[in-house]
Amino acid sequence: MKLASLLLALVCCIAHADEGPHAYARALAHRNGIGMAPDARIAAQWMAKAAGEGEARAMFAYSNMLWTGEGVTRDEALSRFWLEAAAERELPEALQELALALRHGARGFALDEARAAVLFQELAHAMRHPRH
Amino acid sequence: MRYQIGIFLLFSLCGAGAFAAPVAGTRASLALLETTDVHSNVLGYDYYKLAPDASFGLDRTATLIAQARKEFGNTLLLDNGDTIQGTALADYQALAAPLACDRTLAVYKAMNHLGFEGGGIGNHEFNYGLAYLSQVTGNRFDVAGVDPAKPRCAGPAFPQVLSNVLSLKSRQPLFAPYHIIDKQVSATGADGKPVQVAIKVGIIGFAPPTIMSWDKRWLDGKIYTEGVRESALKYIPEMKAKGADLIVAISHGGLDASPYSPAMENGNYHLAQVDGIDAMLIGHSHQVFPNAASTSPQFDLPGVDKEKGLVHGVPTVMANLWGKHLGVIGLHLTFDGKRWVVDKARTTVEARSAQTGEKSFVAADPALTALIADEHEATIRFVKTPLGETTFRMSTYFGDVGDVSALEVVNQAQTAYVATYIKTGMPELAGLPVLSAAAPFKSGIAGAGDFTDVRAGSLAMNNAADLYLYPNVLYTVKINGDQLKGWLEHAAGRFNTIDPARKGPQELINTSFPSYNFDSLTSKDVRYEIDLTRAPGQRIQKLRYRGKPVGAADLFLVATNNYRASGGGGFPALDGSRTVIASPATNREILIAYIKQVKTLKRATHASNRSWRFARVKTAGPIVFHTAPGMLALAREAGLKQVSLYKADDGLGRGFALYQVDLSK
Repeated sequence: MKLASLLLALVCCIAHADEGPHAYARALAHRNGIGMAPDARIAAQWMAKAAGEGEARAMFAYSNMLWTGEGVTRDEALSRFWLEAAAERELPEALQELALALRHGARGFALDEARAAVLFQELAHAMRHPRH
Repeated sequence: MRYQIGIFLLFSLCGAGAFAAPVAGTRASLALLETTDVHSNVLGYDYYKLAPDASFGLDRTATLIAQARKEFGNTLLLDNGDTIQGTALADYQALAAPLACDRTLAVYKAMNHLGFEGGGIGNHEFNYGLAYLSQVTGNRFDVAGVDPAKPRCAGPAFPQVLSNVLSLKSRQPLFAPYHIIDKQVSATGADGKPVQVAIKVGIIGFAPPTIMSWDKRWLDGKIYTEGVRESALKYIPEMKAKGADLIVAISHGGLDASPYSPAMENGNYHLAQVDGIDAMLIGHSHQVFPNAASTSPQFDLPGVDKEKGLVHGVPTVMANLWGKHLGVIGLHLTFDGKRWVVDKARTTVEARSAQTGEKSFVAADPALTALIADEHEATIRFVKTPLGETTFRMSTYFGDVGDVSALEVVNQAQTAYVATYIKTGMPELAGLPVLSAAAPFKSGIAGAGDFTDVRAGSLAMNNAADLYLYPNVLYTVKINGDQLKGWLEHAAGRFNTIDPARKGPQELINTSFPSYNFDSLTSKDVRYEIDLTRAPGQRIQKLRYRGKPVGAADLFLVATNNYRASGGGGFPALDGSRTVIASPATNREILIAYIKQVKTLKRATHASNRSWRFARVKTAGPIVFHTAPGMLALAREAGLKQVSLYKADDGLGRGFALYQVDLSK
């Protein structure tokens, strides 16, 4: 059910693609205390919203927040889900994080050198024309 | 369901030469074969590892092409661009030893040999500038920056098409927007007898309009782009009027269901909805399509059938990258007396892999090896060309316990780059201390040989790739003293918490914290200790800058890479919001430039500034760690007297030895 609702959230991004960057900026402001007191909980809420609206940078940041439990209940599986989602969108840093995790067996991923190698190739390409 | 394709008999007859005009009931099959994003990988060879790699290369696609040609009576081999850039071979021919006018680029030589019949242009074709692209494609672009007096040079022996990239000077497309190929095919006549006929296949090319930002320095003020839909609507009727029986879109992009914009990068979801396109060859995203198992969001869109390979009903293929796959669209055509009709129900779409098993691949075509042997060898010499030399061995075997022999030069190169960057372009940052962080990327995860290890002697590009493994670009963040401490605290998560009273051996390394996140500083201005007896988050002690404790209000610039600065590794305060320099230069390029400038690396000046040490503590038992056997001398050379061999074989069967570090020293 959780996965289904997340997929639904991803689908919604098609219709609201312009809202992602706005929510992401709000999330960063709350997370880092830019122009306001830092508040990890509110930051996580905005980050989740931005991620749901298709903002790859937010997917990556939210994955990190879920991994450490920053402002949100720690959830390794959901963290991996959002990391995969950000990598699917060719965010270079997410591609690298995922590739490294697969090569080293980090973040709860099983070792998968073959997939890591493919992702590193993707990374090399994505670095030549970043989209974000 | 069947659909009609207009045909103009007169044109067909003219184009077909001796070929007979088809009669009603004539049947033919034609397979469109696609390569895309080959990125100059003619041979399966890793020029940085200087080793063959069977998992990619046009030499293996060649075998897939040969198989498809045997299977289908008639094939049309087309490439979808991102062809001339992507390997050291490409850089060698473009930058190190620029191609002579009468020579054909290695990848085009290979494609000519394989009998490519048409090609598109991708975004990476523009990476080396317009003059180079004009030359190597055998064109004479009428565009600013390209000398009109220059002769037409050698290029591919097949037509290249690109409809949506235009010269500001001439207001005309740089390349032919489309080309109509008189494809001579073997068919079966209405009487069941073999017959040769011609089918006019129109190919039209598209590149992502986003090239204007990606290669702004080459393209700004010289060319402009149009949307893929607009270009298609302009030219497809013209192609039909000239007799095209089939329209094949060679579009370098993926699928994106966002509302259409002429500037969108991946416009093919919308292109497929333009009337008249019979097949789409797509690319750019390095994905496989059709692929029922794909989780890529671009293939989970309304109107996209990722099992059958249809986008709004248009047969569509994307053949991965680097020659790993061959796209195959099988069309079955019948001439109804006026036009060729495609039997849509029988159309097949496949992306065929060169990989046949977990570690097995189709055979490589040795002809390509022979064909580009000179260019290949020259590239290897180029990669091995000395940049400088090192008088000491640079390795990461003891990176976890403080050997900076492979790290300090990275930090020095990054620091020097940022200092110059600020001096020349960002005076507002002048006066802030510039630090740099680096981590050992290779720490034995794949075995005892999986460490950075550059022997004393000359340093070449492949060594630089060993010293800086990843294709990152240099980023610099502006942080305060607390954030700097938090960064180092997070990095110190590399270690387990040590109980000094425990008598048995204790493992030093927290294996759930990878080495690539063990950032450290190598600045003579910074000193800090890592107290392993404390819990994670409380380990950084005595953090000082130029002898003074670092306070919360102190500000620093720290050079790192885009991965770290943008959130990689989940370091506190690093999520992109503190980036003040996002350099276009890769960390590896910066390292190479530094080595070229310094010429000779010496231990005293490039491998002796360790900013950190373990806080001294007497432990009852040994603190042990695993690294390659027989390397103790390197620890000694690095001045790590507290390291000794504990067991020559750690007993885990992976070829590692067990060393110990005395924390009391």
